[in-house]
Amino acid sequence: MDRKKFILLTGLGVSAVAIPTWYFSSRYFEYDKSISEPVFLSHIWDNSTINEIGKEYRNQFSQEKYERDLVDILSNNMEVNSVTTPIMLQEQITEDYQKGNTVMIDGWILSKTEARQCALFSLIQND
Amino acid sequence: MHIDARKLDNNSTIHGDICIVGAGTAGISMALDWINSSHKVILLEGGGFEYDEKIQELYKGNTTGQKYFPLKSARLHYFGGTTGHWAGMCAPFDPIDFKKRHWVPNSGWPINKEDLDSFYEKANKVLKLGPNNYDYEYWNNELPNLTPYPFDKKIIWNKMWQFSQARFGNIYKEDILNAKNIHLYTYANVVDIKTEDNISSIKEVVVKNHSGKTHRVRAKYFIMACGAIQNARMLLASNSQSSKGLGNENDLVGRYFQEHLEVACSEFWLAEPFISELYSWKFGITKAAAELAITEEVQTREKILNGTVSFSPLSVAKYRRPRMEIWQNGDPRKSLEKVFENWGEASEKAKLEKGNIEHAFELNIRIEQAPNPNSRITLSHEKDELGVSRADLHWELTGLDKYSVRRIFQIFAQQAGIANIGRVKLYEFLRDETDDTFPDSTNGGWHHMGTTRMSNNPKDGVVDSDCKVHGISNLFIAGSGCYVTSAAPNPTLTLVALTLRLSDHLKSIIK
Repeated sequence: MDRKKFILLTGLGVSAVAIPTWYFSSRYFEYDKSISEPVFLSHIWDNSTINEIGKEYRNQFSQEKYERDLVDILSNNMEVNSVTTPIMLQEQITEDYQKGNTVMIDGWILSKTEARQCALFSLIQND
Repeated sequence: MHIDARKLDNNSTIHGDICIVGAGTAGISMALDWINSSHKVILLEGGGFEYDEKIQELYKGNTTGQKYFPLKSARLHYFGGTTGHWAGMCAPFDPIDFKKRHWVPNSGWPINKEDLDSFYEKANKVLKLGPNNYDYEYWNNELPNLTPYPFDKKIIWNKMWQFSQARFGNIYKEDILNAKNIHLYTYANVVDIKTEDNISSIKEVVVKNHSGKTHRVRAKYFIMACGAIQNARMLLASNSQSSKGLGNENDLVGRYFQEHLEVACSEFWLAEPFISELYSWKFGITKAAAELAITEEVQTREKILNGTVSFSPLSVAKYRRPRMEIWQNGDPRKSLEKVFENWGEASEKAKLEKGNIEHAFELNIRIEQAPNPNSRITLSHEKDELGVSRADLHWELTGLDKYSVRRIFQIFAQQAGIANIGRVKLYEFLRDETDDTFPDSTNGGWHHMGTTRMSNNPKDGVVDSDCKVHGISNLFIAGSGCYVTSAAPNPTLTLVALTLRLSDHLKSIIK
């Protein structure tokens, strides 16, 4: 086998393994779904409203339209589990309001974190 | 003592020590302060003791600019004035309201809050209010269940209000009529103010009525107490000896007309019910309640105007129409009836509203208008039935007004988020930060202020800090027309305090 063929076949082999792996891992990666539940907002809105607000957020912030991106931002290197995640997210939401890190979606003034939760929620709903 | 000017012989001349023109809130407050003095007080009222369509018609005028109520129905024109149907909301101005604020053009009074404090005490009594105490802590000890929202006190504070039910026409009629030194003339509409030849003092005012009678009133001192629009109108219309009108050497009379913006701005949805009586008001029942105000420090940092936020249950408010839409009949009685009708319908429909909306509110702003020289009263080409040019109003708002309203709700939303008690949804007209306009549905409070503003410099104001018209030794203005800025609260308590301060001053110089 000459050098050129070796490189080509090696590349194809790596791609054959890597691309499906990347695809399936991005499409079906696992995480604790509590990260997508805006606890406070669920007291004032139904799921349909959370879904609509989430869609509108993704329209406004197109760089955050993918599930993985939103999960990465929301988890922010913390270990995601159903016990600690809501507490840590609530702390993050309070901090957002303190720092003025808010967005306006359909007139609602929301913390960026809870708006992202709505966006993530809306992606899951659409699955 | 009461005299009906229609029954006097034509061309009568009336003499007194002081002549108060207008028997509304300011005029009656001042007259009461002179009862049993050794001075003869002439109190002139254009109308009688009851509503009279012909008299009310004299208030008619055109409006341009921001949509406004018909001028004819924006005040009441009879003994007692607009207290005849007012809601009675009273709160003092804040210290910041009197200060020069570099971010509010044309702000800064020549007096400060302390100069009015002792007169607020007296004004509270005239308006039949409770103690002259507007501290939340005081009322929290007096009344049950005044739990405040858990907001940062360095950002938002509870501004307390008291509620008057004083209808001056009823409660003070006998006092005025029985006072030997107070001579009340009804149906005595001032149509001209005549000066001595050198225009440095007033000689007499000319009064007329629909019976075709004309009389003259002479006094040592004259006090205009007809409300901010009519005072400016009379100064401008008294132009036979001075072409610009009286006190108008610097083209200031009528300018800086201000109103309070009272507008539904957002929804406030709570996660769970918040049980408190602090932010609700029932006419005739509530003694004191609060609206949320922005601290002086935050106003300064954010460069915003002074305003307060009030709460209406959303289930009712969503069915209420803006008052500016409803109150468009020139007859104030019919306009008021339509408002009550709409409120009644809204309350009925609200009974069917269930779910989370039961702990949601509509948030309303009550805010001063930035002083604006282009917002003004001018004379119309049209004349009223007594031959006086009508008043026209051009009501004009500014970008600072809109910015301040929007910013206050952003601050409120932030505090609600930090406290984690609720979320705020801005109404459509506030969402675009580049939009400085207000919709036609923007309500005023029927509060007319600023047309004869106060300054010790004649180039900046019509009256000095004693409410004397610059350049005229014996002409004074009583009432909210003297306001330099309009603050957040309804004007009545402060205008009574300012009038009593003027009264005190007159007593000191008349000796």
